[in-house]
Amino acid sequence: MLRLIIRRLLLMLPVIFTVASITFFLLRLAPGSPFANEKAFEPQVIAALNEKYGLNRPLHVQYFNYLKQLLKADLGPSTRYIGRSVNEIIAEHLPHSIKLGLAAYSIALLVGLPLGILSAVYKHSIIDYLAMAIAVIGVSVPSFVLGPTLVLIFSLTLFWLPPARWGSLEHLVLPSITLSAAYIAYIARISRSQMLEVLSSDYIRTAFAKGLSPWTVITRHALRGATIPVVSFSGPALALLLTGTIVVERIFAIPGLGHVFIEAANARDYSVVMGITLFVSIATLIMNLLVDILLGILDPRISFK
Amino acid sequence: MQRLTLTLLLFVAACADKSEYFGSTTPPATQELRFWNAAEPRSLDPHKTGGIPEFYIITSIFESLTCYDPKTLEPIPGVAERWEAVDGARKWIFYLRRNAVWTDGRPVTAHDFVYAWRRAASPQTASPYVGLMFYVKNGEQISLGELSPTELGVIAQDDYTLVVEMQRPTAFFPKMTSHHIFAPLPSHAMDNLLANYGEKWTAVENIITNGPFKLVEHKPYDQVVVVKNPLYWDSATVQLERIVFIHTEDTATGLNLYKAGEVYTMQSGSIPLAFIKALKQKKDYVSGQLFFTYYYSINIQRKPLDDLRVRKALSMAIDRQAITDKLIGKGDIPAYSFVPPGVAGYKGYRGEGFNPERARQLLAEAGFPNGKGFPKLTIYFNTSDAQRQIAEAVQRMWKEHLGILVDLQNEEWQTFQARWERRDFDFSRDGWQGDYIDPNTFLDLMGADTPNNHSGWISEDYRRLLDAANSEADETKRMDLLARAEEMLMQAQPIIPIYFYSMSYLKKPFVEGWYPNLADVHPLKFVYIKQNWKEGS
Amino acid sequence: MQLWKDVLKTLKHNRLVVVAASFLALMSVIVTVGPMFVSYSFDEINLDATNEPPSLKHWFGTDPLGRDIFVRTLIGGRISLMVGLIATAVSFIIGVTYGAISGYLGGHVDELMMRFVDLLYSLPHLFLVICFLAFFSKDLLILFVALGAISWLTMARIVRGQVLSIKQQEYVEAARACGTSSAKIIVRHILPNALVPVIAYTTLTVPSAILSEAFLSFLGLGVQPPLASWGTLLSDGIISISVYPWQLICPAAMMTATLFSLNVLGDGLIEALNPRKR
Repeated sequence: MLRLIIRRLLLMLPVIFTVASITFFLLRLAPGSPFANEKAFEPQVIAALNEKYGLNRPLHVQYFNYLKQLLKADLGPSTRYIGRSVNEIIAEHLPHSIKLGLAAYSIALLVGLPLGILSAVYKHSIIDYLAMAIAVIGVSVPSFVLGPTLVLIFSLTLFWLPPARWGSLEHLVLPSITLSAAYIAYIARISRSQMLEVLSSDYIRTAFAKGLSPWTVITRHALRGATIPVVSFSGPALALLLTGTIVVERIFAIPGLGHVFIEAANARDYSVVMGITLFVSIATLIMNLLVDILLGILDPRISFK
Repeated sequence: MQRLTLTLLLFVAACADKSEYFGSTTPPATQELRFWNAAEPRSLDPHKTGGIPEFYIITSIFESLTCYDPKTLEPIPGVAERWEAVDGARKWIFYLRRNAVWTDGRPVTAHDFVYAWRRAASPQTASPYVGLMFYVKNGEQISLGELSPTELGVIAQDDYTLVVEMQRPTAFFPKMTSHHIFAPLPSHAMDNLLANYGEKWTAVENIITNGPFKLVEHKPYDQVVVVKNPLYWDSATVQLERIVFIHTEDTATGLNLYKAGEVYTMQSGSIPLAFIKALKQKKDYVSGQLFFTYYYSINIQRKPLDDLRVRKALSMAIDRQAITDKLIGKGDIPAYSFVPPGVAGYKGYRGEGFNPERARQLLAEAGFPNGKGFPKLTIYFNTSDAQRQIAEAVQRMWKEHLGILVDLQNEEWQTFQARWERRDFDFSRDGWQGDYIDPNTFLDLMGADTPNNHSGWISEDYRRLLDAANSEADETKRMDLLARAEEMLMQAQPIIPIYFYSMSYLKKPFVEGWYPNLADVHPLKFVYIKQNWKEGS
Repeated sequence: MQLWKDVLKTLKHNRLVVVAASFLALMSVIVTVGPMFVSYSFDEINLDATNEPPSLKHWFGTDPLGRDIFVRTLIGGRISLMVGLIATAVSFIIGVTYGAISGYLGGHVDELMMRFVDLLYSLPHLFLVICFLAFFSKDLLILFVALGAISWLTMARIVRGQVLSIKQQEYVEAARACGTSSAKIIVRHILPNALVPVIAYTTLTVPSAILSEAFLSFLGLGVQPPLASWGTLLSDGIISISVYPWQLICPAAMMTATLFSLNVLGDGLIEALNPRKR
């Protein structure tokens, strides 16, 4: 197992290299400059800034310098926020995104799992149809529509919750619900179909045949089987949550990484865009690895690949 | 069914809003201003940024020679008690007050200004607003690295007398010195701060300032907090105990925060177009005029735009009144010239108005009767609701009145700007907001092939007129010369002015000491919270 | 093809699926020919009739430029469905080809090809798409390709899995024994049987591509004006939700209903394919 983990970690290197290279060239080949401004800067100012950030050097020199920096785990300075490095920016803003992501994913699990399991147990009943309708609506309504709608209802009409910003528990409610909607839907669907599979399997039938009550069968035997695909979904889902936060953090003015990323992309803050993209891909890789390890523990039959 | 309920709910929410004000009007219990400040500041170093969000924070923690009068924006005493022009405005002398101190208790002296201005002009600093330093003698050459910063025309005659030599006569200089690029820096501590903290010298725990407020908190993408500075020489005037600057760029979010009473002000230009008509009824919606022109730059190097008749025809075929009144509907003024009205003593030139027949005639004379044979040109603009809607309106008008069809292309801001640099456009959306309240800030833009002269129009005669005006000591004559320059510019029509921005902002009724003015600049020193505002009204 | 017939038969018994399919058919017709029967064009500005509520004249009301929202919703639907279909087609073509080749050849080639898919899988796609659209051109074509390029990976994995299992079966072995060429075996024998689950997945790719386009439009990176997609209509409408709610509700209802139907159809297909869940 340890060898496999090391192998997986080694396999990450080409991915990291690819992402670093793609983002580097994508950004440098694009028109525009991080120092463009509505009121144009004097040419000597632009030249001085290019010199300061090394943007006036030949492309291959910049590229190798960037890779060299990366080896030292240094993502370089931001060109937009003077005196802040990308490492600092990630360290500062990531915790907010993680908090939001975890809150959203907890809601998704707490709502999605029971929804999926109930609709499988009461298959083709009104509960099933209702649950699945909710699930499908969840994936059909974009978060940037759901978020402002919730704000309109709960903040601007009922005045129950703050419309935006960050800090207290109340601030967490609307954005995490917005972010969780799509995941509730996914989890409900996955757990429903897996539960159906488990319920029709031989060992559950045997359990029923032994005269155990349905509830005992479900809680003792079926649940464990039904959660496995949910766990395997968690890896990509948690990474996807980071993407989802781009919109939700913007709508709710949350100082998270997604928000910083989109503003940096708009302001052409090269190093921040590259750094966050790279960071997200590494995070995704590690998350997937952790999920695979967890799956191996949950279900020894799944070969660790 | 569910959707129907939601629909009804939304309609109820929308229709129920018949109140006099937009959202909550409960004042805070303390003298705390919550200020929606758009984007996260790039830096709090007075020399390193030039944006509006930074402006508000920096001018509240640093005080320059002069301050803005909250109503007129005329210079009023800051660190300087009084000032005088010498030698036909070739030289200015500022007499500094003796009771201005830094937050570490040391006095603010003329040496602090000399140190700061040299740093601002120096090429190593790469200050985006270095252009304002060009008015000071040798400023431009220093920024180019041709002269040492010590050659800058600023001298501390003694601790409290600052002498400024100008590059050329500059009668309007004190109108500029309220800007933060002219702010002092604590010269006694800067070497130490820069050596120990580098660019982090502006961090909360390091920074030393001299303004009415001092920095106590900075959470990126969230908020900056300043509190009243007890050491400030005029702290008796300052009533606010605390200002929270809230940073989020999404204007719809800002509006929601305002409505919920989480912020008390929304700046001009940040209110989404769709809201203006609905907000106009509200008492906390304030509109006024701004020193800001919205125009289209024409690339006069491209055919057939090099033909004056074509440029005039295009300008005359735009019904500006329809754009300002029906489309935007927030009280903007149709523009037929470049300099917005409102400068005392200046009577600008008024160009030709909407005249579709004459426009058709001119276009026919230029060889495109009813638009036949006119090449397909493109209007470029940066991605934004407002830009798009105006461009679409212009597109329609040209199609209807001239029979020519133009393409619209919106681009992300950076790409769009690169186009300006390469002068790679036919028409581009453009705008200029005056740096100081004087026609020169507009007219100077087209005076040379500068980065901001997008159309590429250059005229020797025009330059000469401007130079003559700027060395004219007599204000009336100076304004006359500037008006003649504007006439020359509008006759050549390298730009199509469309409207003068009105400013429209939201301000809770309990925020006082905040007035509409031409630059929409609100010195926070004079702002206060009026808890019992209802009884007063 | 017995499998196909079975699937269709099962689908016909699922009333929800029948309703969804009919709705989609109707919607396709409306967005294709509908705009011809509306007396406004999608980019017709009327500054005298801005922000009007729904009426007999303007069924869905008007936007801040006085444009008819009904016709814009139809045009937007046309673009959004196109985005969905083209992105799906791109992912279908690449995914099926890649997956079939990888699965059929097997061995080291398969290993290599799948490692490459794994590598691409780990890229933060949406982040890259945002970079690309933000820094280069916001061309509609790039949007189609970018969205398609994201979703072919899963397609390739599914196809490969199917091909791997089918190629062991006797009739394929038999064909090979007769000396039939590899290409012919893939096209004649393997693909038709592998396609059913692929089509189910494809049905689900359409709504996810439409949603991705809407997401990019919200960030200002999607379809550019005066053209509209459901995404741009929604992101415009959401701004004025508290003053002119119809500008959001009308296009949102259309889009949600369509995505709902597509998801129901996709789910129905998957369920019909899985005999145990029937």
